[in-house]
Amino acid sequence: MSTLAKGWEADADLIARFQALVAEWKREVAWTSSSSEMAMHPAYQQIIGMGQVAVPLLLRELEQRPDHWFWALRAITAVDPVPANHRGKLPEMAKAWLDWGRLNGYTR
Amino acid sequence: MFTVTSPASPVYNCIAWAAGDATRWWWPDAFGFYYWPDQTSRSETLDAFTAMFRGLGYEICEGSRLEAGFEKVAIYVDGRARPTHAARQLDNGNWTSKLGQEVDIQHDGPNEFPATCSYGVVARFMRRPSLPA
Repeated sequence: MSTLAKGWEADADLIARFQALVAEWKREVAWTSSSSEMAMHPAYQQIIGMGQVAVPLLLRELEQRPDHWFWALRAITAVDPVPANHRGKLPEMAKAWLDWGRLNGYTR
Repeated sequence: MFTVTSPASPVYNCIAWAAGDATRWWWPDAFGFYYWPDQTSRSETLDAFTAMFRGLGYEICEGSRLEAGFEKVAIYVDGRARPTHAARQLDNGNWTSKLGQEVDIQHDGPNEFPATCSYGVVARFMRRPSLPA
């Protein structure tokens, strides 16, 4: 189910590219614990390079398949809404970003 | 040889699992996204990982041999001496590892991993007195 807010619908080519990069990244970093290695992976860097249009797609990923998209979201938006006491707690980190996305009109 | 002992999970990683925590992702990233004990340097170095485990009561020791009254961890590094992985020894002498976002395994020796894992070599073993059951 899509929860993207009105006005944030991405075009099909962009969504397909994003999904291909997500799949490549998940496949290639599945066995690593290093958040630096995960974030420096070329597919992850390409997602960051997509810029603002990737934000609602990343938030939808976080909602549907919580994963380590925090570095990318921070890199693109220059904010970090996760409270210090939730560092490392994936469900709470995802929730903080989803709340931020709703507050800022990316999702509903 | 290894045996899978849990489903895959992105919630915790090998460092958390070696430290006995299955609720958080532990890593000393520079941005502070992930959990790392406050008293320890947030740097991706063997020294920082050693200091972190020292903060949990471990001290550097020799080898992977099971020692009565102690539990051990192993810290792995890649070719550039960057930490990649940690494993914890079980009471039966086997080792337990969380493999990134994938599964937990129990492995016979500290280097018995699936072929897909490339964690480098064990750079340091550490031990602490076994905690009461």
